Amino acid sequence: MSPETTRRHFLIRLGRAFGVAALSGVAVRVLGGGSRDAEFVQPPHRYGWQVNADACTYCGLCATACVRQPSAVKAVNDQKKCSNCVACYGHLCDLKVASPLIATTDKLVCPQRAVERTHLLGGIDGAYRYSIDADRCNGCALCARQCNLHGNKSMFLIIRPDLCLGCNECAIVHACPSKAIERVPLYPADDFRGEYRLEQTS
Amino acid sequence: MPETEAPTISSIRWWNFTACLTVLAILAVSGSALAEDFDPGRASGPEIQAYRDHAIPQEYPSPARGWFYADVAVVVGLLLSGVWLVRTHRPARWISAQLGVALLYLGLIRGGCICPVGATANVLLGIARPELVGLATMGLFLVPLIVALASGRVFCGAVCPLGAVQHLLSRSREEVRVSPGLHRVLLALPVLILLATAGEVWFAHGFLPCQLDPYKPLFFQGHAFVQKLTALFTAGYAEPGWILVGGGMAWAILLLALLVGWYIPRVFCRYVCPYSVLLGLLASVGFWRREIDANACIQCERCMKECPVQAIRRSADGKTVVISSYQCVQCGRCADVCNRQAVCGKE
Repeated sequence: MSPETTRRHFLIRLGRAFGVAALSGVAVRVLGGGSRDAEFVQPPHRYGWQVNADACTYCGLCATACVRQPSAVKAVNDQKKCSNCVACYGHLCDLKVASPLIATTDKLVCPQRAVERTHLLGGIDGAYRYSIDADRCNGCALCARQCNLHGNKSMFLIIRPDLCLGCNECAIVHACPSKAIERVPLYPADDFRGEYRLEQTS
Repeated sequence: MPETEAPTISSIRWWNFTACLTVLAILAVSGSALAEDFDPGRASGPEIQAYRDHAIPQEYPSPARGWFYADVAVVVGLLLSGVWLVRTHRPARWISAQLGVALLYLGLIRGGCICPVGATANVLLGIARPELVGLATMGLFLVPLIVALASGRVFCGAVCPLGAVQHLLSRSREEVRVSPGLHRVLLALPVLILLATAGEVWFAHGFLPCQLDPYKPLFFQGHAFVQKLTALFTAGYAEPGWILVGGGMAWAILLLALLVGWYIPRVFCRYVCPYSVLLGLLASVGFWRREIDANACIQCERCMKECPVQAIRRSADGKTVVISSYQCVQCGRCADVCNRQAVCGKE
């Protein structure tokens, strides 16, 4: 073999050794898991995105920033927290409307008319259930903003994991002025369970 | 003297107090009707408390985790079949057909984000913060690299959905060859983009490959459609209206990329893709490399003209024709056009 061929073989062997070392190094580092004080336990699959309800300022950018139209962000109402008021800040623009007329008024907070009011208990001044129709909700956060400004803070925004396309880089993260969109493990399921606030992971 | 002044002050306070009380009483009487209007009428009592206690929260299920394992399995399966196609020198159209399957499943059905190109950024992030990388992502990143070390960039030529869009589009006869000088300069771009990817993901938490990917509206649109279809069949939630993914800008970039890709084959793979650097480096020291047998070659240069990524060129001394393993995407077109069966694999 000519010296040049020998040199080439040597370099290729060296390259292979280096490549194998680099690959296994990265694998050990990443698969070895995070530090002990890490925010999450490393999941076996993938990450998704979720709104941190504590940081959200209800600016309404979620409705337009999502790559998906209509947005994967929807407003929800926590039934365990809702005050079931006769007149709801997240539902009515003008709360001075007499209670018998609320059912027929068209001065509603939601431009999509997604906030639904159904009678639950008692008479006309009894208790009402407020829910948000996901078919019509576009995530504009107007209802959640009103509820959090004046009401019992039961309405908030979530990114629905069944609608989220799971982009590696979430477009809403860039638009969000309050850094409220967080990368979260898709499991355990508790993180997306129901109309609750997300569990604080820290 | 405190003893004499004290009664004066307290008497003034007492008068103030009574005055305030009177004003408040008048306000309360006159404003009671007003205050009632602002009370939203909160519901209370044992019945409503029972309702709240028994309210079952609605669940929003995450995509079934089986999908993620299936993705890794599909990538591994396609890679293995790609290795078989490449190593046994099957016709290039077989490899193209497999790319079609990869485009359909990994691209349109799974949204193109089962994508080792993007996983490059995730794994780079994982070097800094391992807990931020899912294990499936890690697998997707590693498997094509291991295969590249074993038998070249099979991933690019036979599995990658981004490569598939470009490959299936650039089969026209109107290919434009990039001049060799410019080609060599542009080859530095992916390296720079890889460095920029690392920089951005470490210091700004951004994912450069995903920002640069021009094909994502196409993939996401397909993915959203499939998601909706799946929801209809599995009784999940599906929105009633039409779903549009990506803004006008994204679609314009897609059209531009498709137009450029029509004339310059695999333009993204060659001059943008940061993952191609890693694959290329491992492929160039790989255990199996596509080479041209100098004894059989008659230097007709047909393969040079056929190669979509311009990986075949004359050697430095001008006596032989060589394939750059760094650039070769194992599409098999050179072997198809060679009349002398000079293109072969070398251990």
